[in-house]
Amino acid sequence: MDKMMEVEVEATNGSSYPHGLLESADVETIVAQYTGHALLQRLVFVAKKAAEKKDETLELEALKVACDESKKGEHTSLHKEVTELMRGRCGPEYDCDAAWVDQVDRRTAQKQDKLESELNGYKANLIKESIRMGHTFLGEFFYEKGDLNAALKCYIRTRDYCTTSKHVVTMCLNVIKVSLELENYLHVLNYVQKGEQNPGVQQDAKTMDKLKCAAGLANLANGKYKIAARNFLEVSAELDNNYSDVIAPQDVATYGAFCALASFDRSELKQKLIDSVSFRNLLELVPEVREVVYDFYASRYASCLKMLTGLKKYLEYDIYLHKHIEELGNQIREKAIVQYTIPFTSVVLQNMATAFNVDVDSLEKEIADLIANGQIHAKVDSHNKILYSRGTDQRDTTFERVKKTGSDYQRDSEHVLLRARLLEYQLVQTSGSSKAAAAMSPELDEK
Amino acid sequence: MTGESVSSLIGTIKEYGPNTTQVLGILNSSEQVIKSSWQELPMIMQELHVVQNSLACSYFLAEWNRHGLCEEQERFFLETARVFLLSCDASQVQAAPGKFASVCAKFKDVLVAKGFARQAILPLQSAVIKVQIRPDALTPVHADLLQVCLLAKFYGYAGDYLYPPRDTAGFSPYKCLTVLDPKKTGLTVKSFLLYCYYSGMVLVGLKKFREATDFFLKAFTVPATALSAIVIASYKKYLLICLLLNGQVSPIPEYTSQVVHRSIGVYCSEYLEFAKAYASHDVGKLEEVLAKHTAVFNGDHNLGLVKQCIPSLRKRIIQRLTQTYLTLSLDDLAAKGKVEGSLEAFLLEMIDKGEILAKISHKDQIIAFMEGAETEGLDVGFQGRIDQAINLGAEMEELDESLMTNRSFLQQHVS
Repeated sequence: MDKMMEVEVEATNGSSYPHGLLESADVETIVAQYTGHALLQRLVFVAKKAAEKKDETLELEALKVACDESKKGEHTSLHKEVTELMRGRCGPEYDCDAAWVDQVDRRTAQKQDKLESELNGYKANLIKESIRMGHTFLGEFFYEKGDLNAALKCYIRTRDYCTTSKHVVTMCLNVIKVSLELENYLHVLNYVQKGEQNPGVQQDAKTMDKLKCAAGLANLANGKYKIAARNFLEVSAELDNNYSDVIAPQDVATYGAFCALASFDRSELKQKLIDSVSFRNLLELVPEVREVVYDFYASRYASCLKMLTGLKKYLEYDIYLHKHIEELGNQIREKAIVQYTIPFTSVVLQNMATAFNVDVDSLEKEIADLIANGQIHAKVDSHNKILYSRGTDQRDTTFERVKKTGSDYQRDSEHVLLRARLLEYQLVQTSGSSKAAAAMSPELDEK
Repeated sequence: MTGESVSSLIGTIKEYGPNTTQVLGILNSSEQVIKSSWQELPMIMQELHVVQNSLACSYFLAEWNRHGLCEEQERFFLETARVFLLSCDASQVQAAPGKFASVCAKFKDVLVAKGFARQAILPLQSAVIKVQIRPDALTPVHADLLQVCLLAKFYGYAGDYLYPPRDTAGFSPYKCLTVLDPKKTGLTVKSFLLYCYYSGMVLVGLKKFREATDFFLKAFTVPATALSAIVIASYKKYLLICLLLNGQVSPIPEYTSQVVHRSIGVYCSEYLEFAKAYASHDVGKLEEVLAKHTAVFNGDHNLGLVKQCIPSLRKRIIQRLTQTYLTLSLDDLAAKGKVEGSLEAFLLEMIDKGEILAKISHKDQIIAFMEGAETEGLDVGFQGRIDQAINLGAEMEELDESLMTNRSFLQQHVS
């Protein structure tokens, strides 16, 4: 909703972005959308990205907020990192607060001792539930402090002491949260699966949403856009701010929509995205993305792609999407081009270029690349600037494939026979025989 | 002392004459004597009859393979060995194929070193026939013969020795000579590798690239627990020929030995870089890599093949364009294909060789690509190929059965 306001503000300012898109990240939006680690992580990320782009105002703004936020918790190492990044550019009030750090460190050390001794006590008494709680508290403590590896260890240790399915789910969610931050995505997927298998979880919408979000993030990070899209699309609109220390509902909508556009075919897109009531509610949170989706589906490619290019700039500041936005954007663009050509037997490139809002030559080049990749079955008449579609001859291609498969079979079988015979007679290259081979007879040159 | 025992040995051998089994026993038990008397060979050879005592001759002559020879000895050895290889008794030399092979190897080495590879062809060809126990058997002498043919640039001649004779049952274009029990053929891994490597080279010389890759593939997928220079050299050639043939390198098959799998990246990094540049379809990049590693390619004697890759990539780029365009202006084509010099001459050559189907229009300065007549698919003799495949399947089953009952094989290779 913050974004909606932004849209209006930008529009009245007569911004260069006709759809009211932001050119870069907005610190206030981030503060409003996230809590906990996600907030700090994102702020630091935006600051670093801004530094890369030499946007000092934004960098310092993000760092200032991050500095303030970091002092609210016990995350002293992050506080040090943030103040270092500022390099004293914001005046003395944003220097590293050594006294505070000392104080917190001392306090946390005491707390750690206390928690550990309590846990040992529980262990001595062999009360399962208390041991679980002890580990969980210790895990939370480490997490607050920012020692993720230690937190992960504690959370995983609770596994043996879980007695009810609710405990298991809590354990899974904790492990997932820490693993996401550690970027250990394999771990995330494992524990999502574990969580989903738990009886009773399916009815618990809030937990399911969290698991889906986590799975989506992990698949997105691994570049598996299609699976990621399906994960995100299953998240219900009730997510709200439940998971704000990891992901905001706006993100779910954005990530889900882009992954779906890049990887779904038309019918899946309609069925799972356009017709999905719950996802539509999520999409309403990010009107720009919604427009991209509807424009794409309605084949209004020019405005769709224009909006996409605008969004790219903004999404480069997104901690999860920045690595993939280029690739996703390209895939969406390619998809749009392919989809445009499918119904025609011949396309006048000039018309198509108008529809995509590009010039003919660059469009021709893009189409040529897609043909070379085998995504469009057509040929370009470059002289007359017309694209002719071209059906493949099934009969010929089948014969070609038969020939090739036959040859492959023959060759592979011969090789198997040969190798079996070599093994049978123990003609194996060993270190003894390699000396002789090293003194190989004089080499010959080709013509 | 030595003199006496040698003369007594020769006496015994002469006594037994062509009785192979007994002579073999005697020769094997008097290895010391043969070893110590190598310098007296001229004298010994006068005593022995090349045909009657072929087995003994191969033992004595093989002994010379261990030693460096002086000028005069070389001359004598060449003369004697030539007569021996041409006229020895096949059944006798087959009793000790290893010894015979080392005579051939020495004979070849001496002639190659002198630069008279051509003179070795005829005697070695005779040697191959003598030592073969079956017309499709692979012998260690094959590698020597192929090497001298290569050096003499007699590719066509060598071509007759790569495959089993055509009339053998179950002929298939992927079959090489049959590997038989090394006790009967004297075959070693090294000679097998060299046979594959040289066969590949001969086929490259004959411009039969597809068959050549098959031989190089056989060479570097040989079962191995250690690395061999031949394996690496074969892979380098395999990679380059694959580029020329398909424009890309097929991945190394799964059944390749672990040690080869692991180390190929280390030993062939320049080649892999070259292949990557080729796959990017960027002539400039390819030339860059070529210039960067010229010394390495030249050192491996692969510069010729590497250089062939550049025009091949140009052609491939243009061929790809025929898949994409119906018409294209010549200027665009030149920009995309990065052809230096006269584009038109280059295109004309390609059209002439049938590598692309196109017409050039001078009026509009365009080239029009035409759809190829792709209907040759039907005439490939499917029946024959199916029969071959069925035979092959039967052969596989037979092999499977025989190996399943082979105790030592199971112990060694099946855990």
